[in-house]
Amino acid sequence: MSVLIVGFGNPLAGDDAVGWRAAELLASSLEAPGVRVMPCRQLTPELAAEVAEATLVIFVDAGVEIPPGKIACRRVKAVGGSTPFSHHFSPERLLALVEQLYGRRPEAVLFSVGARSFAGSHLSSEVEQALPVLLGEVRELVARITQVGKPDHQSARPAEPEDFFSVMH
Amino acid sequence: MSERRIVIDPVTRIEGHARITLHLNENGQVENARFHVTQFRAFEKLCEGRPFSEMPALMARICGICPVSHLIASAKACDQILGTRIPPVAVQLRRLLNLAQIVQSHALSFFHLSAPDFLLGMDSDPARRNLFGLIQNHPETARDGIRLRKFGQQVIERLAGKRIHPSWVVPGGVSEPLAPGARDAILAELPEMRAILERTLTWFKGALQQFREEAAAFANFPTLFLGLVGPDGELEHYDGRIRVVDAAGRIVADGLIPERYRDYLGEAVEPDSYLKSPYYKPEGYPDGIYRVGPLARLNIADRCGTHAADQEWAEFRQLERGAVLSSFYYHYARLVEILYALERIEQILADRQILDRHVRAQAAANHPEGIGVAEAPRGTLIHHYRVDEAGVIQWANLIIATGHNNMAMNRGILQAARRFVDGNRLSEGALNRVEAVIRAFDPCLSCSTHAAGRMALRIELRGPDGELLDEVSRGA
Repeated sequence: MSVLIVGFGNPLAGDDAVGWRAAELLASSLEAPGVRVMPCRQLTPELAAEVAEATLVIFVDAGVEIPPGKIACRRVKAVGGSTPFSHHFSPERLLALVEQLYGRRPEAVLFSVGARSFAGSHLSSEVEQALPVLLGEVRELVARITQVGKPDHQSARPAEPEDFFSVMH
Repeated sequence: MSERRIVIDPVTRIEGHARITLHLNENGQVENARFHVTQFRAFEKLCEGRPFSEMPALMARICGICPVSHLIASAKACDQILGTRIPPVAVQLRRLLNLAQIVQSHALSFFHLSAPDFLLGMDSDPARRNLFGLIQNHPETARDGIRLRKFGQQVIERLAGKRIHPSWVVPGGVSEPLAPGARDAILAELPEMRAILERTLTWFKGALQQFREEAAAFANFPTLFLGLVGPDGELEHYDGRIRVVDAAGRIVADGLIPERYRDYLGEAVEPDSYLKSPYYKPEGYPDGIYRVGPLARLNIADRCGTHAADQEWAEFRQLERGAVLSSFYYHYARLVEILYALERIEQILADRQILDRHVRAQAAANHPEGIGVAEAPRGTLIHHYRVDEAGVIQWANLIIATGHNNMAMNRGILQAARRFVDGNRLSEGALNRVEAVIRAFDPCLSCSTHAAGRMALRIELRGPDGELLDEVSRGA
């Protein structure tokens, strides 16, 4: 079982920093075998090699499609397609790149936190308040997933991809 | 004679804002070309009033691709302000960091930005002539590029804590010693990286014949070449003295003290660009045109100083009798430098002293001035600061590696445009070749824009009265 947590966003662009901040906090507090945390500013092609080594990838990002401070979580699937830009990928495009280059299809989820503002170097009050909740949800997911993956778990079988989502709420 | 112009605006895959203007005569032939860098970043003014101890971290923000280079040059300038000699192991650790930076930056330039031209063709469909076309058609090369760049970034992370904007290099040394586990992890990955480099060099050297036309017209002219060399004339990226050679490969000046750069380097300003035009003072402006970066470094050095890279260097220098003049061969030089960097990383890590824990000298500001010079991936980088009694920055001058090549880039696009552009009928392939000249230099104006191949670009061909005669555009 190998879990990769990728929190991404610009630490100097208001609420866009939430993914970065979450990853930094998780990196210093989450000690679980087989779990790796990467804060980064953007998703770039180099991440494909890291993602290809994971069984499950947890992306954390700011979102504009949900109300400020609200947290959403959804499963992410590889979606190909041409884009002229290599400096920034969506999680879907990154997963497609992983499949193309390495023939791997790790399971993936995206935690999004609704953003209020992308200006300044501080999180908005809504996102600041949501941050501990977000961290708790990510930690809980990791704990459940790593339990499922253990051989002495009640199912006594290796984790299947669908198990990841059966433990999510 | 009335003049017509072709304007490439914007030029992307370089940082932010630049354009190319091609000036035509009445017969539609290219008379002149200018590369305009139209953005203004003002770091020299921004840092005034800041404590010098903040400078390495502040200067690293100049760039997201090569923050390590600015970190190192800035820290070296601050070392001089401290007036202290930094611990030998700190010098070696900074060297390691710089070499890792060269690996990841050169890999980005070669594999991500230029390999689509090499493998898919200069005239291929621009919709596919990009990283994604490369992945689809040559996944093994794309994987190699990603792996090599990841290695360089991981070395930076293992040494300095993070890949982008690390603050591990500080005035007086580095903030933390190297952990044995990090050393072992880096050493364990080197054989795989060497294998990637060896197969890439074999492929690229075999493909050079396909690019004879580009090699002949991509900034292929006599200039001076400038950079640091070690005490025995070997390739050097961290310390050393400045050497200048001419197009015949003869040493024009040697042993120049980097801190006295103002004695032999001038900085001209052109009204149509925010990028300064440095020149070699003894030859004046613009005759003192010179080039820096990987091509220049291989031209000025007597050897690399590591076994495999020395062999590749000797073969590289056989391309021409004197200095290798075509800027197309910057790509080739980058591969030789990556090989050298991998060998040097192994040498440095093999020394037990590299784990020494005394990595920083402490002092207050003791000198009013500091100058730091190092070789960045793109060439010689100079940071020069003056401080007051309290160590607050009063004045700063930065000569960024890309700036040294400004005159050569301008002359290079003129040469390529004259060879490939027909002013009466524009073609996408010709447009790509003009851009590819700039790409060969890998200018680090390119911190923020990374359109891969299909660049947002528009060329208009207008008559003397301003009438639109022809237009080529792509992207948005």
